[in-house]
Amino acid sequence: MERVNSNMASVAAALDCDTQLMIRVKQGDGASFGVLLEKHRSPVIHFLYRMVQNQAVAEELAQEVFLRVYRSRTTYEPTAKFTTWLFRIATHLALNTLRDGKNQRMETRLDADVSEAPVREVCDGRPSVEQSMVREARLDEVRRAVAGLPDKQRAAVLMHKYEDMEYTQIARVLNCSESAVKSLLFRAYETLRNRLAHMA
Amino acid sequence: MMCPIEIGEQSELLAYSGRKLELSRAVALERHLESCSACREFVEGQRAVWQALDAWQTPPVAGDFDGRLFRRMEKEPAVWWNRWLGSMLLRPGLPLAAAACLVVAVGLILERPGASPEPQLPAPQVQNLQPEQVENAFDDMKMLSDFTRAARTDAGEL
Repeated sequence: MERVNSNMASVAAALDCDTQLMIRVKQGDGASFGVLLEKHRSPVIHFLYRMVQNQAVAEELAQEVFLRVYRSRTTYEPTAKFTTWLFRIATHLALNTLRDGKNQRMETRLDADVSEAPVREVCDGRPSVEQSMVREARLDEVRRAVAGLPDKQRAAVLMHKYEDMEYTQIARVLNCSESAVKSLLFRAYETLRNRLAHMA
Repeated sequence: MMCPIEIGEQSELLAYSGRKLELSRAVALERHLESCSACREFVEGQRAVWQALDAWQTPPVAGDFDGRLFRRMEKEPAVWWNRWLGSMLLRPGLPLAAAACLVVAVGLILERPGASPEPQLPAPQVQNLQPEQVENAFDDMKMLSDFTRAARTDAGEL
């Protein structure tokens, strides 16, 4: 049975386009690494940004993620989806950073660089100053609510919401059971509902 | 259907709130919502959460991200093909002349004048050569062939 499951996992991995690219990287195809970077750069950085809530730190961590992917190319084995492996590395680095407290999570100072928050386009002219302030206040509330989640709950929510990952894949990333992931998510979303439901 | 909250299974409520629940299950859940205020409250609250999270945009990625990454990769051991990776991403095509120059260089390395004509004594030639040079040159030839093939494919796709 274990061999059957292992074979099925291998077949599933074989169907994963990213996995095929990574195998080519292992074989020395540098162009394939470029393709993987182009495809996954933004999702990884965005995930890390929402985890640590600091763009500079997020990009630094993302650099480390792709460096580790590159370093592991010669020993890479397609035992899981490429994105599972990728986000496992990213989550591991993010959790380490948060645990070590190497970044300032809550950087909402009055002199914060507003260019970090891209302005949404509106059809009927520019938003007023008041509208911008209201929007920033709401975004700040969302950021604080997510930052207030325990680290693993935060990671689970971000992968579930923004990467559209299924419970099983999140479980593999976090190296826990699917029921544990559901528990993480249910608790996290309950916390977020309590803090953000009034924003409806 | 059984109340998802009562049985502690909120997956369907989450999926329904995000409009990702299978149609038949969604229809059944909607019938349940008509009579269950707890589930209705859950769905309304969760939809507010989805909307709030949707509004959380991220800053743009720095333009020099790839460049910084490639510079770090160049410092990694066994980095012969990394120098070509940067140029590959900056310029979609690789000039065939570069490949030809490399072939000529390999030929010059292998065909040194004054080499011993006696095959029984290959040692001096071997000693004069850098084994890594030859091995890496062959690796580069293969790599350039791959890059050229990829560049042609990209050009064709464009």
